Amino acid sequence: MPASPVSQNALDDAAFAELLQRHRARVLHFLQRLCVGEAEDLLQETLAKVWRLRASFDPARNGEAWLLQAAFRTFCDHRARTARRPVAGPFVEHVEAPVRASAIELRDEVVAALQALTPIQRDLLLAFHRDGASVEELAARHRLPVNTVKSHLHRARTRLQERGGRDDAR
Amino acid sequence: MTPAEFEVRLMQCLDERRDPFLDAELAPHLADDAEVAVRVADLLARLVVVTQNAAPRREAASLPAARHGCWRSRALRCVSLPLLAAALLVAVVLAVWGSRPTEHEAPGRVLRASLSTDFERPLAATITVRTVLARERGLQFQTFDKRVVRR
Repeated sequence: MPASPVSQNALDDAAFAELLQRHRARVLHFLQRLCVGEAEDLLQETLAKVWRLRASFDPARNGEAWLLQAAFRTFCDHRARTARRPVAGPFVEHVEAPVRASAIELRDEVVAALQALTPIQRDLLLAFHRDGASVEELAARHRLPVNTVKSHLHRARTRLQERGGRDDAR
Repeated sequence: MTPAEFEVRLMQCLDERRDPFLDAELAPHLADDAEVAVRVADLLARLVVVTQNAAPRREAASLPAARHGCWRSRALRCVSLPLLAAALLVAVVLAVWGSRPTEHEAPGRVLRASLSTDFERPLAATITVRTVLARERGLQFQTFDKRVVRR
């Protein structure tokens, strides 16, 4: 494994530790928005990883952005490890919900969003994600072209996001 | 990758039930834009609620049936056990009564019939039929009828 390039202006350990401490909360908040139950663990894993690579960090770079990218890679690596484990259902079942005031709020938002969908959008969305029906099965069941079914699904997912949107979106 | 292309690719991943975060085309875009990554994570979380919020139709449909089935099985057990006991009792009684002499039969029932040759009348035969005249509380009146039939 090749050694990481050493920055000529690398921070000393104390300065680097201060950098991590300064952005730690922001990174944790970012990870919590991606997942809930394992955000702390992923944060520790991220900090341990960047600490090992501290010699390659260029102080001229945006430290926060660098840490957030490292956290995101840690998050993706974790998802890849989780995906390799045998699961009984689709991968969405193992996704952690982002931070919410309560799980009930999220459920209420989703229920409201489902009610706002058109009947065909709601039927297709539930049949596909909840009941595990394939696009081809739904097309045959509703006597619709496959692309039409996909369009309805895409629209339903988009509207699922729009209703009750994220608190800190954009 | 333009936002429109990103959305197309994202929906394609979901249609194929693949993780967008592990898609080779989407991952770089997600890594570069934290807000987009969070938005995708939020969408996946909402889809989790869709899959888990409402009970699957198969389970929902079977749950009442399971309840009814449970009730029916209990009722069946409650009814069948006494019936079984009664049937067993009847079988025992019949077995006991069946072993008793044939004299204890219903009125009019033929208990015994026989045909014998009347030696005194060579061309005649005697038919004897024993029947129950009356039966009451273990007391049975029998009668017999004897007839001579000429051959």
